[in-house]
Amino acid sequence: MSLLVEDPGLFTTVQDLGRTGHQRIGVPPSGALDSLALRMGNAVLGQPPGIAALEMCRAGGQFTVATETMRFCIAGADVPVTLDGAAIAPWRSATARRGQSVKIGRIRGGVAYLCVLGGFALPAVMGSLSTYTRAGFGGFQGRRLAAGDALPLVLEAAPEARERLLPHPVPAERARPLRILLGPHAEMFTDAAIRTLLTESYSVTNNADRLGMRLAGPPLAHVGANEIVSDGNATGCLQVPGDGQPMVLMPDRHTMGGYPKIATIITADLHRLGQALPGSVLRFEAVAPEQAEVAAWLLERAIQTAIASIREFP
Amino acid sequence: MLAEFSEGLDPRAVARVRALDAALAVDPPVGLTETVPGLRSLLLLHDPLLLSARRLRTLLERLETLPEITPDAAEWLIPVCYEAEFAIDLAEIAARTGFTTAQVVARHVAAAYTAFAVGSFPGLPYLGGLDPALEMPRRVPPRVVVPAGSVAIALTMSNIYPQATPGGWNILGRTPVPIFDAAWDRPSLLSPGDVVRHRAVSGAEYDALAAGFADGSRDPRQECRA
Repeated sequence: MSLLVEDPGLFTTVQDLGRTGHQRIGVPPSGALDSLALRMGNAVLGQPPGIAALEMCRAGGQFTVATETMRFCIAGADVPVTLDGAAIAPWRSATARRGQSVKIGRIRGGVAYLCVLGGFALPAVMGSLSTYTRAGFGGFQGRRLAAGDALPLVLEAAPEARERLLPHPVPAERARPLRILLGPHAEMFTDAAIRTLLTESYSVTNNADRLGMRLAGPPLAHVGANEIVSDGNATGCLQVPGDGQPMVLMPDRHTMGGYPKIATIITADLHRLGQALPGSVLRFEAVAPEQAEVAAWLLERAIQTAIASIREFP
Repeated sequence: MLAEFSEGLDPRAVARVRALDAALAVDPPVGLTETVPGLRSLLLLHDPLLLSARRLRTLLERLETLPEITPDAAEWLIPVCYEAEFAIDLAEIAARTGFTTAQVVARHVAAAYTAFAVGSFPGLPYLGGLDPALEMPRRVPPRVVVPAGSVAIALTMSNIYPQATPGGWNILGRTPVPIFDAAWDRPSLLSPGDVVRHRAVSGAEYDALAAGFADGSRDPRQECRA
């Protein structure tokens, strides 16, 4: 009753929607980099949004089914997938039999998810199955997957049912700037720095992982000090150290930090960060808190519309 | 949303952060996901679908006029071995402060510390209350690896490294006590606001304690309660 890892890909971990309430003791939320993709993959399978899946970064991998049947759905960035050599589209369910091999190729974006019906039979740590590799807990043995791992599955066999598909995923809006709230430390930067952030482009460097993404672009100058007495970090905040190059904090980030934070990406756009890659160009647009709240609601409405459009086939 | 109480490191600001945090915990509004006490501020993470920034701000303004709550704090006595094997920077700290190494240790052991915040890494406490004569900057560049259990000082604080991580604080000893375990009900031994004292132990006692914590015959959650 397991899924065998033949080839783990580049950096594959078990992730759900993250752990809540433990930042006060230094434990970051972790969780899916593209939480929208995880939610939709689970929706295609007809199960709750927070069932943990395999998050594959940049390259997929190969897995062999070691249970009677396993229903699964690939969600997230576009990626070639085969089941025993036959192509399978993303955003649809498929059922694999014992001994069959699911092969996931190069991801055309940041991350893709292998969601399975019923999920993985792994212990929750602080209420979550998300892997936090830096401290070595959560997910499968607190680490990224390796060849030879056997991931225990909850279901021995998928119930007989027609397959389902999502005809129109929620639009990725790749061309749109990431919306930000200025602050909490925007006043520690020059007016020119704020203008620069809102008009220039920043590219994602190779120094990008689940902890954070260093960006490269026109430097952002501090008014005075370039350090603060540490306070709490939020996912999506843009911290700027002395060299003026911003770093976007991702879900495995430090929970507190001593660099001024010029802005914070709004909740509705966080999932788009998960699909950014080294070389991706990011632009930023400032919005007011009320606009961020409307954006969150519009995204939620788009998600509900997409879920309602899921249909059975053939 | 970030509620800031000072710019510098100020124990009064830390107390106000704790008071606001405690007041919010009494009757947390729907949509407040979690709060994160920092060294001078309280970070409030909220779900924009359930709790608007405007409502949260109104709520905070109302709480400011409430009488302060002093939350309960646990007290801990944490053994530290200051012998040369572990006290990587002790000679340098002594040279910097003009004390003998024994005087540095005596001053570090004499203080009662308060956990201003716990964070950056899982379980890492920022302990305020360092003897002002021991204040010093962080090391530049930081060490690539600081051993787990290292007890170190920088700025106006002392800390304990729960895991081996990179770090720039000046190391003066090591504790055999595991202070973070993801398998515990409360994975961090220390919570923000807790009071910590140290006691100096010999290398032999360090080894005995370390062996006891490793094989489970000793539990720091009982053993280190003051």
